[in-house]
Amino acid sequence: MALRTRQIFMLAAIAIVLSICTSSVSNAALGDRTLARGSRGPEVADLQKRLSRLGYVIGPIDGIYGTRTQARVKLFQKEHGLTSDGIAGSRTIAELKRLTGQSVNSGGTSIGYKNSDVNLLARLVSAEAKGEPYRGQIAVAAVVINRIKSSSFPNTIPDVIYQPGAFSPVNNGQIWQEPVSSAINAVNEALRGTDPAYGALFFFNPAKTSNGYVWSRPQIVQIGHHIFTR
Amino acid sequence: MVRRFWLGALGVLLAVSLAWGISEYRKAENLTIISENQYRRSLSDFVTHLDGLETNMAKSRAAGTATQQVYYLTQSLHQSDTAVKDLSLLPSANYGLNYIDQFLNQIGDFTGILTQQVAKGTPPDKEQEKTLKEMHERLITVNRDVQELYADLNTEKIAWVNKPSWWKFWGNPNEAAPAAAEGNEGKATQPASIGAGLEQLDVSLQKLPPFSYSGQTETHSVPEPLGLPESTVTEDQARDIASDFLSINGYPGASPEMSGTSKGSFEGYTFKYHTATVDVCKKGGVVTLYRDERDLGLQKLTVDETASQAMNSLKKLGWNNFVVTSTEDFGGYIQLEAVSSENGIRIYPDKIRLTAGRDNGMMIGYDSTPYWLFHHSRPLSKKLTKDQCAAKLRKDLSLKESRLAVISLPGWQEAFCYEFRGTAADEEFLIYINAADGTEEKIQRIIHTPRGEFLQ
Repeated sequence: MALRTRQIFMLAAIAIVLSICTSSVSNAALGDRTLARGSRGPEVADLQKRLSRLGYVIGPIDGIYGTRTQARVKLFQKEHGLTSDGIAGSRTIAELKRLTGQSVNSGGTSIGYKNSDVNLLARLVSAEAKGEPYRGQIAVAAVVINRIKSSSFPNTIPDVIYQPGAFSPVNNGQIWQEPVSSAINAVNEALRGTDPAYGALFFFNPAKTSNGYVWSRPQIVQIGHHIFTR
Repeated sequence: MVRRFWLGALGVLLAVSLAWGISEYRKAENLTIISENQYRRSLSDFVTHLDGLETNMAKSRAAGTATQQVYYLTQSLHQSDTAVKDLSLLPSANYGLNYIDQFLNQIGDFTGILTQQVAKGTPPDKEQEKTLKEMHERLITVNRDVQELYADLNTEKIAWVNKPSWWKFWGNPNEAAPAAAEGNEGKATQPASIGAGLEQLDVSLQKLPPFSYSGQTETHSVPEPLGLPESTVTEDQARDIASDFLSINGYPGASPEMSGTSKGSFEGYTFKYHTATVDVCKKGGVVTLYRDERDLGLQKLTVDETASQAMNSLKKLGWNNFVVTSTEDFGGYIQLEAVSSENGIRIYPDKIRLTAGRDNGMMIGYDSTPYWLFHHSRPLSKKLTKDQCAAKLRKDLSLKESRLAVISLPGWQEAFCYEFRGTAADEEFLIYINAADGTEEKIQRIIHTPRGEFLQ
């Protein structure tokens, strides 16, 4: 009888310890521990969300550190000058948290991400120029910025992108696919003012376009498969 | 027996497919109603905002005080922007870049510029008054035509979208019926759909004489580069220039090959060498753009060390007297902006943008186009002292630093100002007071993004 009581007591103790451990894992924040293949939990989901936000598309945010998440962590590390081992250690997580953090004002108050236009423009660049040289991706983003500067086009990024008939990815829904990381970087450069298209207002792929209007425009430069025109 | 089984199975399949078809038809009908409502709402908004715009433009022309004129111009600016948005929500793929859209954007641009100008105390000049009058008169025509169309469409039972029919079930339900052809006397016949009616209207408006306004824009711009040296270079000379540039940026003895040419304001040659491309402008033989798409190595340098190395490279390229005005840390690389500094005066329009890797500090991006676009000889004279300009600031602004600077204004204008950096109510600003007449030219808010300081 005494043996049985002791066994019950032991089992209860193990259950309590396990429940404490489990609750500490489920309440864990990103950065509390190293994450690697096989890790699960909300902090993995947080990691996946942040990677996706920077253009390292995971697919469904499921909180499971599988091969896809591992590959995206590796790519993030490679493109950010970190040791590319696919393990989200303190340095990788710190870099990820820094780059996906909110902006603050001088008093330290968070004022939001301040990058909604970056994401929309990056979706367009990704849909229009994925696979093109990086310079070509900056040029596509610059075309949108040039339109904002022109008095013949609307004055905001969403207005230019959603102008009827302006960009085919809006018509065919490709703009809703998540942008790749190079498109986000290209947009950041274009927003700073870099313009490899030298003031172009239109671009087209000569192999795919028979539109007489764009062919009639004065051509400025060809980058990759796109011809940029005034 | 077998025959009966197959007949029964076929009957069941037919019933299932019929039920599925009815269900899909009902879904399509619901979507049609939702779309129809949204399109009609957007059209009503468009007509209302266009009408409001016409009224406010009329009032802005009559306003006798700057305050009233700024108010009505601001209203015009907002209503033109909103009307453009309304128009973009209408389901036509064809009139996006056409008459009404472009005209409304021109109004928005012009009224935006004029609002800022009047708010700073300078009333519209004769030329601007004339442009405002012509824009308003043209808008009256456009507004009248839109209202006539809207009234016609409201009295006829015309839909945006064709209702799904059993015969056209596989077609695109959102496709508007084609525009009706114009009659012999140029008068439009009754359109088959609202979308077609708007397209018809746009076609008829395009017969008006083109509206010529293409003037100033909200951003700083010049028609042609002001700073390019006069000489021109041949392809061979340009290749040598590209080679020298590459040598300084980590590719000693590089022999780049021409990969293309560009036309326009910076007509020139593009050279390629391994992962790098260099653009050399024919006029002046200057490198305008450089981009190295090499893989980045492990971070070995801090942001400051990388910036310092990038500025050293800039000096080796012959750019002296440049100061770093902003740095953004993207992890594997940094982006920085450097501007020309003459006798302590920052010339913000004469800017060079650099990107440098944090693995070895070498430049991976270089953009000197702003410098060549805006650089010119500037006679800088100030009539006011720093204290006189500081007196124009809000009293609760706590100043941190100040300097003289040339800044760009909308269009092609620049201003010689005192730049004051200060904080008020937990916010930090750069405020520019004109050193000649004390006008408050520009306010920029400084925020701290995850990558560095950013001006809004």
